[in-house]
Amino acid sequence: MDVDPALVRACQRGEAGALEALIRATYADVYALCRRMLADPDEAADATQEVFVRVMRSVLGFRGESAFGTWLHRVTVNVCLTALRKRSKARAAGMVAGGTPFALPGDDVDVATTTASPADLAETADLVARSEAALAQLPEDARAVVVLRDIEGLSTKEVAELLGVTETVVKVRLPRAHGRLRTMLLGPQPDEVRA
Amino acid sequence: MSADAGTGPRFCREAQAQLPFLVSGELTGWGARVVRAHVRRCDRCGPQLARQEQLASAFTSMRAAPPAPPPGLLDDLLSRAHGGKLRERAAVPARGALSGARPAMSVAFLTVGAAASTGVGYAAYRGARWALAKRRR
Repeated sequence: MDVDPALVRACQRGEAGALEALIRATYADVYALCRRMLADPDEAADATQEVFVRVMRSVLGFRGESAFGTWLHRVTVNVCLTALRKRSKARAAGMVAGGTPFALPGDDVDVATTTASPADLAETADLVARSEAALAQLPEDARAVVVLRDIEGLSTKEVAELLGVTETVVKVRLPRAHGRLRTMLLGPQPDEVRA
Repeated sequence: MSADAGTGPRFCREAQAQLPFLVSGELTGWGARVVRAHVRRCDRCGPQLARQEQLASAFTSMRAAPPAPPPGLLDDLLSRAHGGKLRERAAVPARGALSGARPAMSVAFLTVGAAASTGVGYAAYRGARWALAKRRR
């Protein structure tokens, strides 16, 4: 999420059109992160709205000690984590209708065989679609680690800080999540040792 | 990671747990050399490295093709930004237009200035009264 600092300063000065420009420049990245963290398009749209409500409330207090993109990233992750916590509570209270939308530990989901791709779909697009589907099948805590580290490009330390866990926890969750993804995307591998 | 013979299921488990960090470049130095050396000669872990590299390639493709936002989302966000209190809040300048001071600093300056003015006025009043009383005597 790269944002021109001049645009942020223009927002803080209340210049006409600056806020709109800031939203246009960042909303797609914010939505993509929410979509992958939450694995639900409607919840991702709601979370994106919440992120920008927070941005509009707090942009005046942003002092530029870190890059605006980093700050926005942190706000987005916090909103997603809050949404996930609410979802867990709702699920625990039996308020979520239908089955669990995510695989539970021990479930075997084979996206490589269950997702049929159109024959004329480009190979890369197919790979992305299957990868997104596999990612959505991961448990929430594992998905958060994969999204932040492997897709958003954060370091293990940064991921640990954002999620409020130790680096060791991230280093344990990541190989497990990758193992599940490899199985879902590439099929089972008999010689694979479960981490 | 133990530095024993570098074989056996336990070593394979440890080596495979390091594959994500090896492929991403986060595992460097001695640890990376040990894992690479093991993977080169291990029939079980060699294919796993290839699979991990395929997974890393999938992540690269995912980064290049983020999920597209739904069509109405931008309009919703902009309408919220245009409407009511949020817009007014965002339109308040963060710093004074002339002094460049932050709002909190401005309030502090005004408070100190008001207190100082009151003090000076009170001192002048007491001084005037003292002068009048002295003249009457």
